[in-house]
Amino acid sequence: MIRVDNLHKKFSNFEVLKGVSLEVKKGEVLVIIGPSGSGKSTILRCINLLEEPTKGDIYVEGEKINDKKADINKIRQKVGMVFQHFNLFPNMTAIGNITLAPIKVKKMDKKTAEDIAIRLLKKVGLEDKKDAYPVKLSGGQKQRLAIARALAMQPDDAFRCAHIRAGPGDGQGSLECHERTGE
Amino acid sequence: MNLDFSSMPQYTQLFINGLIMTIELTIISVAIGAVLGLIVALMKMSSVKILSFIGSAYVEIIRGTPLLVQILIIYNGLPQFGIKFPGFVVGIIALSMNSAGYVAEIIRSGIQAVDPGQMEASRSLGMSHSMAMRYVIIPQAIKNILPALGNEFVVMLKESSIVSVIGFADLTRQAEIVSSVTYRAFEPLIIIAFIYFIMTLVFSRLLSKFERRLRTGDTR
Repeated sequence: MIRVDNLHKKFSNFEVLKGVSLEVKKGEVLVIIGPSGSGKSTILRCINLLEEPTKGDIYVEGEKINDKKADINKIRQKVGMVFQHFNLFPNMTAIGNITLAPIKVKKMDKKTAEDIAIRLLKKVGLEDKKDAYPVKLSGGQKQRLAIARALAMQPDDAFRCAHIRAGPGDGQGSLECHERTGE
Repeated sequence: MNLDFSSMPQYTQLFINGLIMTIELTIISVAIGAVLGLIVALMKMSSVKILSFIGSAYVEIIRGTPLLVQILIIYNGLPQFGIKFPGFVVGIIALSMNSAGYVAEIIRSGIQAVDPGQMEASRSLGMSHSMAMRYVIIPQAIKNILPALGNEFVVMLKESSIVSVIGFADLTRQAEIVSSVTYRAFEPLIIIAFIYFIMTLVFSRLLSKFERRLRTGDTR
C-alpha cells in the first residue's frame, strides 16, 4: 500500500506539486492523467525518491520513506518503476537487463534469476527476444521489457509513467497502453 | 638544392633506438597517465569538496600550462631544491603527469556522457550508488573512454618529441645527433617526420577499426 500525504515539490521557483494526497491499496490500479508538465511523473519519481519531496510524507507499506533513517535501497526494491523512456541497459541482453538487479542486489543465484526472467519474458510475450539487445527491440517491446525488469525484483507496487499521445488533428490526448502488469 | 640521403643508412640503428625509446616512453606515460587520470577524475567528481577542488585544480593547471614549461620545471627548476632525476625519469614524470590531466577529462566526460536515466533505473531497482557505477555506468562509460584514450596515445606519440630538449634519446633527439655528425639538417628530420607519420597513421587506422567494432550493436 502506498500513501502520499500533502506532497509538495518545488524546482527552484517553480512549484509543480502543491499538496498532493493519494492512497493506493494493494492490487488497485490508479491512473494519473494530466497535461504535459503537470507533474504526473514527478509524483511517481517522488514515491521512488528519485526526487526529494520539498514537503509532505510518503508511506510505502506503512513505512515513511522520505525519512533520513529510511533504507532507501530496501524501499526501492519494493517499488517497481517503469520509466517513460524505459532506461534499459543498452549493453545487456533482454535477459541480462532483467537478471542484473536480482543477482547483484538480492544475491540470487544466476539460475534462479534466469528462471524468473524467462517466466516474466513469457508473460510479456518476449520469450523469443531473450538474447536480443534493447536496440534491436521496438518501442512497445522495450516497454514490455522494462516492465519485466521492474517486476523481477518482485515489488509490492509497480508504477508506470504513462504515455499520452495526442491524436492527429483532434488535439485531444488519448491514453496509450496503460495497463498494470501486476501479479 | 642538394638532397642527399646516401649518408643516412649507416645511422639506421640510431633511428631504430630512438624509435624504440619514443614508443617505450609513450606507452609507459599513457599507462601511468591513465591510472593517475582515473584517480584525478574520481577526485574531481567526488562530493567531498576538498578532493574535487584538488582534482579540478590539477586538471586546470596541467592543461593551462605548456608541456615544455612543465618539463623544464621538473628538469631545470626542481634541482634547485635538491630534487634531481635522470633525463629518462623526467621524461616519464612530465609526460605522465601531463597525460593524466587530459585523461582525467576523458574519463570524467565519458562517465558523465552516460544517460542519467541509467543511474536512475539502477537505483530504482534497489542498487546502491557504487553498485550502479560498477555494473551499469562504468561498463557503458568505457565505450566512450577507450577511443578517446587511444587518441590520447596518438597525440602523446607526437608530443613526446619535446623531451628531446632535455637530452632524452628519443627519435627526435637521434635526428639531431645524426644531423650534427653529418652536417645535414633536412634529411634526418624528414626521415623521422616520415616515421612519426607512419606510426600515427597506422595507429589511427587500428583505432578507428576498433572503434567501429565497439559501435556494433549500438544501432539498429
